[in-house]
Amino acid sequence: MANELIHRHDESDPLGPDERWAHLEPMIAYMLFTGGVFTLAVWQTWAWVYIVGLALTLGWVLGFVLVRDRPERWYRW
Amino acid sequence: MAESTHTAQEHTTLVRAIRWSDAFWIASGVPALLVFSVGYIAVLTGPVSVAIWIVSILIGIAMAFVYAEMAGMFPEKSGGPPVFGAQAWKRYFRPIAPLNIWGYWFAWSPVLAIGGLLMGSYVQREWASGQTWSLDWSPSADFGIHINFAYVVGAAILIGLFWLNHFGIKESAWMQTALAVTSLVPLALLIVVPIFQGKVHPSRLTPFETPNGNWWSWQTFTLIAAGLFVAAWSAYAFETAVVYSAEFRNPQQDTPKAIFAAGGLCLFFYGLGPFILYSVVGGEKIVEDPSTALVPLAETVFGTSGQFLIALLLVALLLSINTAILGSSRTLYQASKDAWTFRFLQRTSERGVPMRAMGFDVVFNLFLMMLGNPIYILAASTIGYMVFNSLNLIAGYLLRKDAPDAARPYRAPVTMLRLGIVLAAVNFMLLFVGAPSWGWKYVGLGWLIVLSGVAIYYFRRWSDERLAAGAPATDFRP
Repeated sequence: MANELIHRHDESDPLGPDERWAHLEPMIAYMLFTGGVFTLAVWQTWAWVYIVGLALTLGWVLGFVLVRDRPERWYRW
Repeated sequence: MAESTHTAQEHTTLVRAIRWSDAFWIASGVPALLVFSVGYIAVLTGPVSVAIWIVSILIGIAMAFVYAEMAGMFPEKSGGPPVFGAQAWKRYFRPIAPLNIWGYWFAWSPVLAIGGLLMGSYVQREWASGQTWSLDWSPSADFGIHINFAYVVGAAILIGLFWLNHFGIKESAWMQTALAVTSLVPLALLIVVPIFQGKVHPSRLTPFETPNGNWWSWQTFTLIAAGLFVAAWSAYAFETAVVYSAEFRNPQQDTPKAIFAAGGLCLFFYGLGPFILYSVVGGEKIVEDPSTALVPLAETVFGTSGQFLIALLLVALLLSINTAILGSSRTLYQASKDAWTFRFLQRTSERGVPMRAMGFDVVFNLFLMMLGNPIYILAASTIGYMVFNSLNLIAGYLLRKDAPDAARPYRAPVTMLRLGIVLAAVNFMLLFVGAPSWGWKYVGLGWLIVLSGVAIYYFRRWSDERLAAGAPATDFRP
């Protein structure tokens, strides 16, 4: 019974071998930083911090767009 | 001997017993979620709230393309989009997977608490106005624990639904169909009838601006973000139709049909409902009691039959609570099977119902209801939902990148996957800019509960390693 409860890979994995197209840890750190910037903007109601936050968000999206022909990275990571 | 062995055996599988139409009816509680926050968003953003709801439902429908593709890839998995998203994230950064799942669960599960409290408030207001007793403990003005008449009614409803759902998914789907027909038809009439009565006055939407009266200020930007933030909790929620993939008879075909049918239903209610409410009743009337904003609409449209409509509204709330209890218990069940959360939650009954997950949901919400004010619980819960939506849209993109040739019964257009990334950014921005308007304490509570999912994952991993090494099982044993 115990083995049944910890054995969880009885379904086929449609993703195949564990291969990554990018290292996303820097992207996650970038997102956390952006979230912090937005929090500061709302907390202090500083207009320029809002703008920085929006620019960082736009930059995050561009990280996907700019690598369309270089599938190995989110930006250069 | 054989009988005792059978009794001792513990079940961990669901039953393939429903079709897409059953899932559609189970998800038909989502339009009733409009009731939860339409008044509050109208108070916060004025007539602009009408546009906020339209934008929100359109975003929800755009996201459904991504979620439908993801669901089709994992026909054996129950639990909905976060479970599929976890499969993408686990190869990049494992803690994101439980964060995604726990965020989703914390978005759905509090529907029980909020719906229960709202039902209790409606019952008290209409039929038990003398029941004003309350046991309170309030360390600060806007944060405390309250047990009152509304709590007792809500608790009784949750326990009753827990019992009704133990019969099986097919029986639950029948119950949802009956509740949906009883409640959604009147709710639809509430939206359509005033058009023919000539009671719709678009002039009530002018001046079309937020209460602060200045389109070009950061405060307006924050208010609109706060409106979109909470509207998302209701308007995106029809994605719950794909929670039941592992219980579909033909998951590859049933999954996209279920989510797009539910999306069409919600487009009607969310696209038109807030407009009718505001242009029939007007902002001044809504401000008087935003928690029961549909009551003045019902009185205006149907006159003296107000109490009857309140009863139907209660059925609609019951419908949405049941949608949530069915969906969030499946999410917990699958998360447990995939080793993202507590092991005990994967146990099912002989009828294939995840009873322990459902029981966990009910007990959690009995505590949550003590917070008292539904809108604050909703705001805390939306933290989880926006964390999930941001991460899961990225997961949809990752799945296409990682396994472009994997079997997909439904393949979303590439444009929609790219749009998904943009919408992930929008949801991410709303998460941080929109949430604080509902109170920093509740934002903190939301983050605390969502992040606890990561801690639970590490506990489960440690527990599994011990179990594999032959040590006694370590887990919550309810």
